[in-house]
Amino acid sequence: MPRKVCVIGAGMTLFRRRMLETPKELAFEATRMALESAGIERKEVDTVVAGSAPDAFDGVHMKGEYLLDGSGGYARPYSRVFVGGATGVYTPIAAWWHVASGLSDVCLAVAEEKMSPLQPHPQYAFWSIFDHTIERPLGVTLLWIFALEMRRYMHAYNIKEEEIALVSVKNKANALDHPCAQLGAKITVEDVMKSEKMVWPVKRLDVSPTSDGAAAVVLASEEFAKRLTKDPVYVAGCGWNIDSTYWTNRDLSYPQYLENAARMAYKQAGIKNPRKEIDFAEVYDPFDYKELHHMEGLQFAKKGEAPKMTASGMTQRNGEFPINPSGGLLGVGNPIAAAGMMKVCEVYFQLTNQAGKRQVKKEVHTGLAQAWGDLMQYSSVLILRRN
Amino acid sequence: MDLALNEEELKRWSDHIPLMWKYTAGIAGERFLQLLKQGTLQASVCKNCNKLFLPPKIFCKDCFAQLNEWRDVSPDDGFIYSFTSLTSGDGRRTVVLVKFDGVEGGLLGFFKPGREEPKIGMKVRAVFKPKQERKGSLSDIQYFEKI
Repeated sequence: MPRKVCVIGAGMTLFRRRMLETPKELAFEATRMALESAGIERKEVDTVVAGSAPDAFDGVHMKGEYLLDGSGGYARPYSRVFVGGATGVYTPIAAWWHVASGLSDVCLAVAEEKMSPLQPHPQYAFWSIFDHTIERPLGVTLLWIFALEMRRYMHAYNIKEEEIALVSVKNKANALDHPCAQLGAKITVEDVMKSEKMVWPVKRLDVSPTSDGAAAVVLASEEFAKRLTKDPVYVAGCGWNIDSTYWTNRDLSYPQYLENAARMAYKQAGIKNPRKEIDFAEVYDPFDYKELHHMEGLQFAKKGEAPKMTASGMTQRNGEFPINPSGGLLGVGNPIAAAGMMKVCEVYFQLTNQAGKRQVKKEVHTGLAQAWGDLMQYSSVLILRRN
Repeated sequence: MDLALNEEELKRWSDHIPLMWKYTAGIAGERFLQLLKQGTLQASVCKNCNKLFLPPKIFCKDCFAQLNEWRDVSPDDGFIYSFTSLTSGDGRRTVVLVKFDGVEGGLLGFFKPGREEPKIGMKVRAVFKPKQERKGSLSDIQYFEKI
């Protein structure tokens, strides 16, 4: 049986398009805040896991070893994990098994991404993730395949662009209350519809920005956590799963790999009815349609029905089932790995009533964070619970 | 259909990954480089661990304190920790790793060209380029020379 594991602290930097701080300095600031939030010193940390997406963003090969000093990993058992955009939620999962296994009492999980160095645009890092024989000769970009996925999702369930735009409107408004947010804004569905068409049906305001930032959480054994608080936040479940690299062979209207990851986490957490037993969720939303797609993969809504739930207001911060009360990637920003970790931080802040103006209205005990990545094929799911 | 087995007939092509980067020096780096441009060296100080870091950092990797205090390090107080010679390219150049007493870290640079041979432990000074040629980069130190 794995040991019970708790989250005892969380911290994050500002998310901005371009930060002066080096990647190491960003990692330090988030890590320092997480340690302060936990009320512990680095000397009490046994192991460290860092997470960061492609080296190409920060422009430092072997980013793991580069980040280690700033992540508090010096002279510790330290490793870097990397599963593309899903890294931010996978990093605390990796930290979980460090503690659950009995290997360490305290494990730091740090995620960092500095996208701004890459010129002329961070999207260029993605040119080379495609098959060099079949896809690259066409000049395929990530936006193409997201547009294809969005289009297929809309087609499968007869969903309108306006229904999808509601997600962007909600998340950007939520982000107005996040002190670290890059793109909080009061916008309308019409603003989204009128924004620049990038790769139809993807428009400018359907997409999250590129960002620099870092975020961190501290995980500890139950015994250690109970020395700090009588009422700790537990890791109730975690899951991860990956689909084929042949993205052309998948059902683009439904993320089966996410369902697999979610079921793994629900089984561990003893959750039978996720919609009823989970109080709120931080769902990965690099694009507005992805929040809906992911809500269905997570079994929060039936296939094709997440837009209806959104339109009903249920997913608003003060609604019955808040989704992305932080403001999500669309509003807070998207420094890839750090964005996923920001979601884990938000679940921790909400469960410990530290979310300030973002605190959801209803009482919450169970929250979920999810991220998605690699060649739109990977999902990581983490469930936190406080009694 | 017969596949070509002749290497000349096999498909192959060149492509490249078109990436460029614009880096920032960071909080510590920005200050360090501006000071170099003025011809001075400063280390950041960790009071908890009683350590000086050069190149400077904004944090102590050991105790993880944020470092806000900086202290001058005399460019004349270096010594050669190790060295090597580059014999390819445009003539021979000697690379030195220079450390400073009581300071953690060190600076990589070139030894002054000439007849003097470097030795491990040799006391050296950092010689800066003329002020108008300095750019706020590591290359503002023209070379290290024997004292």
